[in-house]
Parts: sequence; C-alpha cells; structure tokens
Amino acid sequence: MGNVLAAAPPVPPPFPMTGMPVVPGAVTPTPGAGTGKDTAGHNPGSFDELHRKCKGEGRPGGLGRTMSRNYHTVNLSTIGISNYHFGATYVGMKQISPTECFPVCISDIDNSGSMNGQVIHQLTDGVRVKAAFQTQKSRFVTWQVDTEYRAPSYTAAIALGNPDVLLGSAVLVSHYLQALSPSLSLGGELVYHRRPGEEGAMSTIVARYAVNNWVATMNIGASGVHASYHHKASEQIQVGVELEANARLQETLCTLGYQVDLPRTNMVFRGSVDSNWTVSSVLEKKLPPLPLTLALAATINHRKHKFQCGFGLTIG
Amino acid sequence: MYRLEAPLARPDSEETRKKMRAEVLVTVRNFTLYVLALRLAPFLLRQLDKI
Repeated sequence: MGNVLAAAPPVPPPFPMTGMPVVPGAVTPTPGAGTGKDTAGHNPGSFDELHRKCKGEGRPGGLGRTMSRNYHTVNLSTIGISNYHFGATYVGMKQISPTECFPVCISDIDNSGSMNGQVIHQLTDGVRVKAAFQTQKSRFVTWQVDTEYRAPSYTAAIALGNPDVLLGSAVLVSHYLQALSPSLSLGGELVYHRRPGEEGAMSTIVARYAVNNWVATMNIGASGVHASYHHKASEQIQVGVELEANARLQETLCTLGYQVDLPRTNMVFRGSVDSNWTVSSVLEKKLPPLPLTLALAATINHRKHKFQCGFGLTIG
Repeated sequence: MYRLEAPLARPDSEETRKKMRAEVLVTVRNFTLYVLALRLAPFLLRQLDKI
C-alpha cells in the first residue's frame, strides 16, 4: 500500500532477500485466497507484496525476531556503527483466519533513538487500515496512513504520506490489482505528490503471473522497470532473479539470489550476486531451546575491493 | 565596452503550474480509464467464454 515509509530492517546490512518484518498476526493472505464469489474468485493480494517472494519476505521460516512478540537484536558489523535494536509486537485478539489476528502493533527502536512503528487493523472483512511512522533520532521523518480494500477478485488501496496542511504538501498513492484468472493479475499504481510550487503524478502498470511453484512479476512505468522471477525448486531450495531499471538515474541492477532452508538443522542460507559484482550471503541459525537466532552476513565486491561482514544475535 | 544581452527568459510560474496541473489530470484520467478497463475485463472474458 504505497509504502512511503522506508523502514530499514534492523539486522546486519548486507542481508540479501530480506525486508520488512513479517508479523505473526499480520500475515497477509496468499494470493488466491478469495472467497470465490466474484468473477475470478482469487484475490490477487496486496500490491506491496508483488515482489515479496523475490525479496524473501513472508516465508514461514523467517527471521526469529519477526516471529516473536519482543526481540532484542545486537549487530556488530565492519560496515558502519554497530547498533542495538529493541522491537516489540502486540497482536490483538480479533482472529479473522488461522494466521491473522488484529490489531497488530509493531515497533522497533535502536540505540540512537530512531524508531519506527506500525499499527495495522482489520476494520471489516475487506477493509484494512495501517498507520505507520518513522523517527530519525529526535525528528519525525515520515508518517503515513493506508487503507486497503480486498474484494474477492481485486484489491484497491490508497495511502497518504507525510501530509502537511500548513505547507500544502503530501504524497498520495493509489493501487489497484485485478485478478483476471487464477494465475494472471494486472494492476496499476498512481503516485501523486504535491509541495509548494510543484506537483506531479506518475503511473505504473503491473502484471503478475503465478502458478504452483513460480511467480513472475513486472512493473513498468515512466520511472523505470522492475521485474522479478521466483521459483521454488523444492521444499528446501528457492531461486529468484530481479531486474531493476531506473530511468531517472539511468541505472540498472540485476540480482540473482537463492535460498536454502535446512529445517532439521534450523538453518536458512541465502546468497545473491548482482550485476555490480557484489556477492552477498547470510546464514541464519536458530538456537533452540534458547530463544536465540544467530545471523552471519558477508558481502564482497571484487571489483571495488570491498569486503563487509557482520553478525547479529536476536533474542526473542 | 558594454555587452548587451537579452534578459534570461524566466519561466512563467503561472504557466508552469497550469502545465503541471494538466499533466496530473491527464495521468489521473489515464489511470482511471485503465482501472475501469481492468474492472470490465473479467466480465468481458466471461462473455467471451460463453460464445
């Protein structure tokens, strides 16, 4: 839903294929989980989740911190200043499906005082609202309010970001995603921004084709192209490729990634290589019976002679 | 020696504003038409299936 909020994941930076935390109560229904009353009978899911599979989000065996109510994360890294994060999650009692409970409150604060938080609530069967904010040290950076409506065959959403009545500035994002068949979904995004003396709008067209074990998604707009392909080769192995072309910056990045789940050893290994010749890898291991998750991450760029590594420990 | 130059053409702010507004309206119109077409597409596909 037009994520104006740029919430950075609190775990070591060179994590490929990771992103916003997945919260147990707020697991989004998988595409195709509609009630079957409408034409196609398959809700295409949320617009924000179109490339999620390639980003490695929404996995059932995600990071330990994201699956727990409270967590502490300590990151020691060669990249920048090491940091400490504390996160808390509240999941309400309103259960609408076996995997979804509302309201959900998620927050994360680090040792510099920067904080981001979200409140998600399902008002009715189809309407979901989200309020999010982010502070950087002592300053409010972003805040946004989203509303999403899910019908059996389509999803429509509208988001308002950083509204300032005095200055007359705001960002308004509108999404629409229609399932044309159980496999094919088409949609679009409209972004309108306004600030004193300037306003503009930009639209993007999106298409997604999903079958049993693979998903291909493409966004095309004036600002560029974003395409991804995710293939689940087996229960343990997933591979994905992503292409991001930014017309304004004249930059293109192609990333090839894979993920290996080893449930018996409570380990997840992710690796990626991109067209800038940056090779990244992450190893996550849960340490039962202790509520700990250990993450080791490393990134190397042979061309730029850069090597970065770090590790994180999540309690909770 | 003096060099005479024509003053730099300053963009007319009112005209620029109008142009920006017109571009926004066109984009919104196109997006609305696209969404309407998508809303109609399942119905049309169903009708085509019946033929």
